[in-house]
Amino acid sequence: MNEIIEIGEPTELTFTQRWNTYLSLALAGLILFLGLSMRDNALNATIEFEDLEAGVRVQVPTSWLLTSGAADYVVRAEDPNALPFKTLLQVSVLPVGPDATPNNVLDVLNIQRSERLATYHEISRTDETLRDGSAAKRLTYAYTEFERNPFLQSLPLVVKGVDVVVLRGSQAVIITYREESSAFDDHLYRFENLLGTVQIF
Amino acid sequence: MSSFEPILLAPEEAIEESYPYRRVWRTSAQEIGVLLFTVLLIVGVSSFTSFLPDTYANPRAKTGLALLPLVAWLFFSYRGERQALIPRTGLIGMVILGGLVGYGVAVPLEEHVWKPDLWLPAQGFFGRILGYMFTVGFTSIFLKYLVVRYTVWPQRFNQRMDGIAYILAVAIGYATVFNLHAAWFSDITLAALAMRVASITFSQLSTALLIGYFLSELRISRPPVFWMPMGLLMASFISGLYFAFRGMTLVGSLQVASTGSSPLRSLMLAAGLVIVMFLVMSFLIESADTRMEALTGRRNA
Repeated sequence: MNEIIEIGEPTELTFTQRWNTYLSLALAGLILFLGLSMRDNALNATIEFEDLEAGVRVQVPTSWLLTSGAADYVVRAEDPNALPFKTLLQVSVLPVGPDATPNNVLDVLNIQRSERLATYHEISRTDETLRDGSAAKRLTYAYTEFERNPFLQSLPLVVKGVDVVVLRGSQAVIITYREESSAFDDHLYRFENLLGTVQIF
Repeated sequence: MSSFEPILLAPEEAIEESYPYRRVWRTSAQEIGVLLFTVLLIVGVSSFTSFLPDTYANPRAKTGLALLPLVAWLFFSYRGERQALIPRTGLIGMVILGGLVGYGVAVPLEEHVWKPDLWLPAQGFFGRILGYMFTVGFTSIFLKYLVVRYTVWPQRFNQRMDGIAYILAVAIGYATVFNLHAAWFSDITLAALAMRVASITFSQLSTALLIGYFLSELRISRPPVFWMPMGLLMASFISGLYFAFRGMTLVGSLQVASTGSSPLRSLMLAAGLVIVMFLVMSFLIESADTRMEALTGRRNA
């Protein structure tokens, strides 16, 4: 029969051993705080984008793919690491008439998108006040996106989007966020950050 | 005048001092050797012959490969422990606890909180060192420290090698979880998985050694009050350093005839790290034991 020989005895901790334990726990708290700060700084770092012609200045995520100067938008930022849908932030400008309201602009967008985007439908429309106090309208919508490459054999994605429309003189500025529906709420803060930094001049 | 002294027909046999414990360095070196040999064999065979097809879908082979470090540990270390005159108790418990904290804490933290793949590769060299050190590196070090600190320390620490034996058991359990995770949730080939398993295991063993040494010293000698925090920082720094260099070795130079990635160099880095760490720690522990023996006449606590 095997006999288990217990050599060590429970020992009372010395002053040094106790304080080593306390300091290790304190260090863990400090290091984890530093780690979170580093991660947040890296993930949420932004750079300034300015378009003097369109009169728009915004902060966009540093590591995202940035395109600008296209016909239908001023600036577009996409997260290259996001799967299966590239998270999108976009600022576009639309010329409008003197009597136009944000609701009119949203109606036009609805009509255009229902032709272009599959199963597009509006979810909600609410009032919004931007940081500088200007009134805006927020439209939430959804549509399905299909993978164009048939060899990938993927299911359609449900994409959820938000548009905030604000009028400036003879133009409407549309700030857009689109994300795959399951990750929409998780990354909504990026849109709110963008909205908080947008300057229209 | 005649002499009555006995004449020795055969030279007197040198009496070897019996060592009642398992020789941890020897069994660990055997495990590392087996793992390295197997990985190189798989890479060689799958690269140069068609005997072992380098396919993506081979879950049983992948699972077996992921479990190889654990099996090697059971065969060499645990079996060796059972055969020793004075076996260390609770090693299996350490492996299980290592696996549990790995699966229950480290994997979710890495996937949902730290997300190193999203931001660390974009950092510079020093940014990678600090970023990995403060997140994934420290998490793995601190969890292993917690497991040993609040279970077998200090009552089962009678000599410095106890710290190494227990922390290596925790590291094997911890690494096995990450190996299985890589095997089941990554679409990589068998050869790539073999190199990943070796890299994970070697890096976990290397950094764990430091914690084992610092815990042993804390039990046996009288270090300062910042001894253990210093050990945790050093071990995390080494893991950060390893990660930063791994990024450099993994991404090779772009050439016409080859791709930019070089996992074999990454494997060599991990193997080099584990060998250097084992040599350094064995030297440090032997020196500390010799010094203690010279001062007190004993090597145990």
